[in-house]
Amino acid sequence: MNGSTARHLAALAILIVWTTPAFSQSRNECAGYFDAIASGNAKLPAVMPDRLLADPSVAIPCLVSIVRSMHGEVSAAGTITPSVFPRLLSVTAGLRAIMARATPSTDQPGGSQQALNDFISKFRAVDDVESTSVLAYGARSNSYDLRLNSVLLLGNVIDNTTVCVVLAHLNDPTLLSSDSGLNGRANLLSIVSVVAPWALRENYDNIKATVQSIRQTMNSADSQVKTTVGLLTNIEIRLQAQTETSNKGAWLDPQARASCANYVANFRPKIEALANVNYEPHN
Amino acid sequence: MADPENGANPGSPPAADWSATADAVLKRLDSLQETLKTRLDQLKAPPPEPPQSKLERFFSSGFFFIVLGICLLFSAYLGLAIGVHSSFSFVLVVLGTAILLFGTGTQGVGNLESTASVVKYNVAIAGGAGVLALAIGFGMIRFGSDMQRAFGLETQYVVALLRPNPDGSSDFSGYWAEFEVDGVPIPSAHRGDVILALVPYFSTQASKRVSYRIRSQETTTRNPILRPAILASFEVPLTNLNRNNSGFDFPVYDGVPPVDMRSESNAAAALQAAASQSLPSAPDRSSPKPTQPAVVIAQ
Repeated sequence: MNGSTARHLAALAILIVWTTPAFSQSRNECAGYFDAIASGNAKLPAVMPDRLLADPSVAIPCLVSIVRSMHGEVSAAGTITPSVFPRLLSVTAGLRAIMARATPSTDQPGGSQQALNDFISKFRAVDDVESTSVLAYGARSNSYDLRLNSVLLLGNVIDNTTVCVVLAHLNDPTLLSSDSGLNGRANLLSIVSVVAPWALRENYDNIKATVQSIRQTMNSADSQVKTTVGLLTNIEIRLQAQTETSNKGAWLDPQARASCANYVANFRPKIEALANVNYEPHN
Repeated sequence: MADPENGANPGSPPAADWSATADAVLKRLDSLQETLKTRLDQLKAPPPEPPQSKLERFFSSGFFFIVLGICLLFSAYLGLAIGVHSSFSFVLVVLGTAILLFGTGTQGVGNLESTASVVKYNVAIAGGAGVLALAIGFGMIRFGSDMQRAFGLETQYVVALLRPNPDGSSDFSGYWAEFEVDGVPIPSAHRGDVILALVPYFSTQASKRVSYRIRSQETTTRNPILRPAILASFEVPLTNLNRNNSGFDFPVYDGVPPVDMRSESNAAAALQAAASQSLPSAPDRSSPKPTQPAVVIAQ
C-alpha cells in the first residue's frame, strides 16, 4: 500500500466515523464538554464549569462518552498516558461533582439516597466495559488525585456487567510493576468487594478465584500488604453472604458476558490466569 | 687762654658733665627699649579667654558631638524601621556620620607642603565631611545598586502567586480571597486562574509569613467537592527573590504551595456511600445474608 492510498483510506475512515449518527449526535450535544476539557493542559487540568454540570441527564452521558473516547489510547498504552491524564482528571472531577451533590452528607443538604440512586442509574445506563476500563486504569494510575476520583466513581457505579473489567485488571501480570501498583491493587479490590454479595455466577467464581490467586502470590506477613490482606478477607466474608438462592445461582446475561469475554481476550498485556476471568459461554 | 693742664678751653663745660649726660641718655634709651619690648610682648600674647561655664564646655566638647552623631544615626535607623522616606533617612545618616567624625577629631586627615624655589605648593585635604563626601561619591559609583536597596526601605512589594491545586476540581472562581501580613490586610486580585497578593516588606527582612482566607461567595451553588472556606498561610523568602522575572520593584514569588480546595469529608461520604451500596438481585433470586459492609478505600 503506497502513501497516497493510505491517506485516502484514513480520510474515508474519519469521514465514516464523523458521519455515524450516534457519534455526530454525541459530538454535537457534548461539544461544550469537549471544549471545556480541551481548555486544560497537563500543568493545570480544566475545571468543568458548574453550568455544564447543572443537568445530570445531559452531563452524565456526555462525560461518560468522553471517558469512553479515551479507551483506545489508554488500552493501547496499557496505562494513563500524559495526554489523557489531564482530560481524564477533569472529566472524573466533573462526574464526582455531580455525584457529590447527590451524596447524603452533613455538608451537602441537597444530597439523599434517592438522589444518589438516580445518579447511579443514569451512570449505569450509559457506561460499558470500555468506560469502566478507563476508570480502572485511573484507579491504578500514579496520580493520587485520579485514583481518588476513579475509586469514588467506580465504587458507586460498579455492577455485575462491569466488574469483569476490574477483575481483568487485578489479573494483569504488570499490575504491581508501577510505583503505585500496591495502591492500585488495593483500590481495585475495594471496588470488587462492593459487588461480592450480589455477584452473579461468573463474577462470583472469578472473584473467588482472583482472591485465592492473590493470596497465593503474596506474603501475608509483609507489612506493606496489610491493607490488601484486610480487603481480601472482607471480600471473602461478603462472598459468604451469598446463599443457594441468591445471585450466585444466576448467570450473567449473554450480552454482558460476551462483552466481558471480548474485553478479557483483548486485554494487553495478555492475561495468563485466564481461569480467574472466565466469561466463556456456559453449557 | 686755655688751661694747658686740663686741655680744655676756657668758657666750655667741663668733661665730667658731658659724660654724665651721655649716661643719662643711654639709660633713658634702655628704659624706652624695655618699655617697647614689654608692650610688644603684650601685643603678641593672645587675649585672655573669658571664663566658661560647665554647660558651655560640654556643648563644645568632642564627646557632645560624638553623642549627637550617634543620636542622628539612631534616628535614621528608627526612621527606616517605621517607613520614613528614604531621602530623609539618607540625610540623617550623612549628617550623623559627619558630626560623629567631627567629635572624634578627624577634621583633618592630611597636609602636604612643598618649598620649591618658584612656586610653593600647599595641598591640604581637610575636614571629615570632605572625606565623607569623597567616600560617598566613590560609594555611589561603586555600590550604586546596593545603596538603592539599602536606602530603599520605605516599603517594597513582592507579588505572591496563589494557584489552585491541579486536581481538576480546585478552582478560585466564585471565591473571595483575603490576605494578611502581621494582622494587617494586604491587597490582592484575581488574574485568570491565579490570585495575586502584594506582600509588603523591607529589605532588612528575611521572610514574610502571609495568612490567607478563601471563602465561597455563594454557598448554595458552589462545587460540593470544594470546601466553603480555606484558611492557610505561607512563607515568602525575601532573600532569594528573582528580580528579573517581572521588574526590580515588583518581583514575583511563584513558590506558594498550590491550594487544595477539596473537602475530605465529601470524599469520605462518597466512600461511605459506596461501601453501603446494595446491588439488585437477579430475577427470582433472593437477597444475600446480612454481612459486613464493603471496605472501599482510595489510596
